[in-house]
Formats: sequence, C-alpha cells, structure tokens
Amino acid sequence: MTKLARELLFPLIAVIAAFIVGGILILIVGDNPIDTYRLLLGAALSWPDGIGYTLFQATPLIFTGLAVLVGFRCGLFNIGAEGQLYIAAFATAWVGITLAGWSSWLLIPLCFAAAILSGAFWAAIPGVLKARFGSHEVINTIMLNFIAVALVSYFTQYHYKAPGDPIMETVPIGAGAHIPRLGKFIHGFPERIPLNVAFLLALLCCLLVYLFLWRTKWGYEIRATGSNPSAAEYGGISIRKQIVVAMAVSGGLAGMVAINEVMGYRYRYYDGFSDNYGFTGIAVALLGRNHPVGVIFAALLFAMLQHGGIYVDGFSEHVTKDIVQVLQGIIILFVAAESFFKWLAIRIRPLRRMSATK
Amino acid sequence: MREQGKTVIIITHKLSEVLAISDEVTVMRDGKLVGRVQTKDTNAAELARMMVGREVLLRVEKPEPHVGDTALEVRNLSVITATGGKRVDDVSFQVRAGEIVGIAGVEGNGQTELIEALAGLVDPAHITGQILAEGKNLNSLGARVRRELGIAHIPEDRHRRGLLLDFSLAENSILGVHYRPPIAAYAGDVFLDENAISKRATEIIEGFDVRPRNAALPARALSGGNQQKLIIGREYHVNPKVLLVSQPTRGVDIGAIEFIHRQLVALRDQGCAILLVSAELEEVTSLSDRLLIIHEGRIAGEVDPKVATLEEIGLLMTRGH
Repeated sequence: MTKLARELLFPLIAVIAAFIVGGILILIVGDNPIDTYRLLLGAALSWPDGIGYTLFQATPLIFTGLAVLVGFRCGLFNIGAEGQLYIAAFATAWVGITLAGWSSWLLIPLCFAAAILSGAFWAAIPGVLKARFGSHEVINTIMLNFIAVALVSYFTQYHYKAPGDPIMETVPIGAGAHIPRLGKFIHGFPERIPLNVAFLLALLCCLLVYLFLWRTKWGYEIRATGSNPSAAEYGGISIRKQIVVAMAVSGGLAGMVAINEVMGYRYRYYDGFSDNYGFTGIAVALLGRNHPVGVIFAALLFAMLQHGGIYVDGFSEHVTKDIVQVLQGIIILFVAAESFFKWLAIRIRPLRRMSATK
Repeated sequence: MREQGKTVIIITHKLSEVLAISDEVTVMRDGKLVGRVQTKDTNAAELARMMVGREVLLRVEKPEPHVGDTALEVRNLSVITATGGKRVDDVSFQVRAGEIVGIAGVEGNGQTELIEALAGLVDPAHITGQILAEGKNLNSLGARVRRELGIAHIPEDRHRRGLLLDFSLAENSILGVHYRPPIAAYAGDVFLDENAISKRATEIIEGFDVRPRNAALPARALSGGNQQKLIIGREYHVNPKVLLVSQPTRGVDIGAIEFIHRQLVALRDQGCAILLVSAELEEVTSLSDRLLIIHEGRIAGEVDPKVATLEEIGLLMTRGH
C-alpha cells in the first residue's frame, strides 16, 4: 500500500506542477487559468460526448503506451510505434478491402491478425538489426517511421484510392470487418460517438501485458534483460532473443491502434490519421511509470487534455489548444525530473529517514 | 598524513589493513558500538570476535579430500579478444569431483575470461581448445545448457553478473531455473508458480542466513555479504556437479566469510568439483586442495598449497616461472 502511494506520488506531483506552471503561462498570455482549465477538463467530463470522445482518444494511447512500456522493460526505446501503427493500419485496411465480401466471423479475426502481425513485423526489423549487428534501435525505429509513412501514402495514393476521391484515403473496408461501437450496447450513448470495442480490447491488453511481463517466464526474461543484461546472460537467458521478442510484442501492441482506427472508426485507411499517437505513447508510458495500470490513467489524462483542447480553442479569448502541448511537455519534464524531487524529499525529511533505517 | 598532525579515520572490514595502520580501533556491529581497543593491545582473532559476536575461525579447517572422477577438463583453452590478443593462453587442467582447485594470480591475468569461458559467457568464436564435462564437449553450448549439465557459477562481480539489483530476492532466487519446473508451471510451463518461487526463496534465505529475511525486498537493499550469500544459496540449490567460483568473499564481512568458506568445503565433501579463483592469496591457499598459478593468461605452475610458501607462489604470480 505504501509502495503504491510512493508509485503514485511522483506522477501526481508532475501533473499538479505542470498545471501550476501552465496556469502561470495562461495568465501571461492574458486569460484566466481557472476558466481555461474548467473549459479544458469540463469538456472532457460531459456526458455523453466528453466522456465518449475522451475514452475514444485514450484507446490508441493505451495501445502505444503499452507498446513503449514493453520496450522499456526490456531496456529498449521504441520510438517507432508511430511507423508501426501506420503499417498496421494500412495492412488491416488492405485485408478488409481485399476480403471485403467475407463474413465477420472470419474477417474480424483476420483483420486483428493483420494489425498485430504487421506491427510486430515492422518493429521486429530494428529488433533483429540490434540483436544481430548491435545497431541502435532508436535510430532505426525513427528511420523506419519515415519509411512506413511514405510507404503507406504511396500505396494509398496510387493503388487503393477510390477513383476521383480528393482525400488521401483508401476505398472502404468490407462491412464484415467492422467492429461495433459501444453506443450499440449502452442506453443513451449515441452511436455517432466512435468509441468502440477496441477500447475494451485496450483494457484487456493492459491485463494481458501485466500477466505476460510479471507472471510468465517470457516476461521474466524480458524484464531481466532490461534490468541487467549481463546478469540475464549469466542466468542462461538469450539477450538477442529477448530483444527481438520484446520489439515484436511492442510493435504488435502499437499495431492494435489499427483496430480502433480502421475497424471501429473510419472503416478505411485514412492517410495521416495518427495524432502523434506513437510519440505520445512514450509520454504515456513514462507518466504511467511503465506499468499497465499507470498507462491507463496516463492515457486518460492525455486524452482528456486533447479533447478539451478543442474547446479551449473555441471559447477562450487568447489561449489556443496549443496549451495542451505545453501541458504535456511540462508533465514530461517533471516526470523526467523525478530524481530532483527525490533529492528534495530527502532534504525535507532527514529525520524520518533516519528513524526508518533504524 | 598522521605525521602532519591530521586525524585519519579508516572504515574497513579487512583485519590486516586495520592492524597495519591504525592506532586505535572502534568496532561496530548492527549499528551499535561494541568496543574500543588500542591496536597494539589486540590481534585479528579478538577483533573478529568483537565484530561477529562469537569465536571466528580465521583458518579454514577441512578434512582430506575424497577425490572422484574428472568432472571438468580444459584442454589447450585460449580466449581471444576482438583485437586478436589472448587473454587466456593455451590452458589445460582438470578438476575432479570432491576437490577444490584454486587459481591464484594477480588480478587481470585472464582469470575472469577463463571462468566466463567455462560458464558459457564468451562467444564460442573467441575460444579455441576444448572444454569437457563428463567427456562432453561444451564449447558450442550456451550458459543455459551448461547450467542444465550441473555447472553452477558464483561470479566475481555480483552487481554486474550475479544479481538483478532491482528485482526482489524471490525473483533473484530463480534466475537460471526460472524457465523450467517447478518454477515454471501451467499451460506448457509458461507461467511462474508463485508458491514454488516463494518456497525456493525461503529455503535459500533461511538456509544461507540472508538478512533481512524478506523475499520481497529488492536485492539492492542488501549488504554485500548478504547479496553474496543469496547468490551462493541460489547456486547451491541446484546441487551442482561443478562449481565455478570467483572472488567468493570480496567485500564481504568477516562473519559471512567464515560461513562461505565452510559452505565451499561442505560442497566439496559432497562430491562437487570446485574451481576457485581468488585474489586473496590466503583464501585460495587455505581452501584449495591443488593450486594453479596463472600469469598473463598461462598456467605458470601447480603447487601443493599445504607445502608451498607464499614467496614461491608470489614469484610464480608475478614472474610467471
């Protein structure tokens, strides 16, 4: 229980501190911080639209947060979730278009497999490069992001666009590949809100990632590699294998963004759909302290900010929705400054510490 | 500095060090002051007793070895670095069941590479010669398979190799056996069995007196001696046929040193073949049944530790002949 409190303390400090600093900035710009924050958070908490859209926007962030988390736990920095989810979204749409006439019973699992496996494949490339040649995954995942975006744009533009369509998007996927929106099951929750079963899938993935990392031998090997590769090797664990496995799992999770986007929202591949989900996932994982439960809360917070930002844009006098970016940035700065807070805490409570060590 | 009128406080658990340079000794145990003596009025045995709280055997007492068949054999082993140099150079020796073979040498003369090569932690491409256990060539086998063949390893650097410092004692206690029953169970041995883990952790923590007795603590929270006892307990738990052990008592308090030495002799007497590397000349001469001296990666000679003088060994260590 105290451990939990300690885990919660620093993210909480980071968020509160970010809101204070953000409030000062809002004052300087010339608006009332309280009003702005009321707009920002109030919009996200209204029923049904605010909550619906916040959960909808949290869905991809949970997937990418989990993806980055799995990488981190293996000592890998997967900056390539963005590219992985683009590849996965296109692959999912491709399966949905190519097998458009198939029934849901076959098509939905096939599209799921396409999303997960294509994302895993794209992430496994830098994994293999690191395991085999030692080339750094940060460089390779960044470069593969550019390649992924260019590749799917090319195929969309020249091969899968509806003739005459001015928008960079593919033709629609078959109806058999649609997954239901939650409005279908919840009374008083309109189906126009794109929140869909992918959100439930994201929550399920949090549980699965937890079980995988902390309750299976594979997770133990990944965490051991991340914690101390020399000791892992000494314990008979193949570090190279863990690197490839962790990257593939990470990419598979990032790829599941496609389920939300393609199968539950637009029912087609829409070029440039990702609102930096892959990169925000890094922030989500950090704020969530690389734990699946933390990722849920961090994703919800970031989704709230993103959704509320639209209202700030519309209703406040000077502040624009860029305040959201500012807040996110400050939160990450404070999370990264954790060691500074720890130092401060030691200075403030030297007596308590002495009695604790007996 | 003392001659300049400065006050010097030295904090150490090395008895020879404190006896050599101090004027007055204060002994602490468990955060409490135990006593204060003049250095010229005391000796190692008395200080050890004050530190541990009971009589300590500074000399290792061991019965005659009952030597069995060869358990580990090394033939013309060389370990080649990336730049082409030889860290271990054409080394051959055998370790038989029930004996402790010591390797003495100035640190950095190939001991680390030799042990790591035997444990399967060196890329086989960098190894020439043969490593044999029970007649089986180990060269191409990885660390996991060697562990399965009964080769345990207490590494010289417990922080770098031996422990996952951020992991709990329980999680550290299963490193190396985490993937197989009884630790891995259910659904084709995929899931970790919490009960089996805590049983194993308890056996190690209680059997080897690891303190504090809390399997949920991170390994980082333990003192060096307790970390070392955890590693030794873990490696003993598999009933090894061969034990590779490097610097078993480095940075370990004197009570734990005595305990570790007794455990090594006990394991030998159960028929384990032990290869011991230590920079402590006293340790390696008193524990070993046979003593090899390594110099610049080569075996400079073999001596009988019961009769060899420290001068003789020292010359072999530094001159190589």
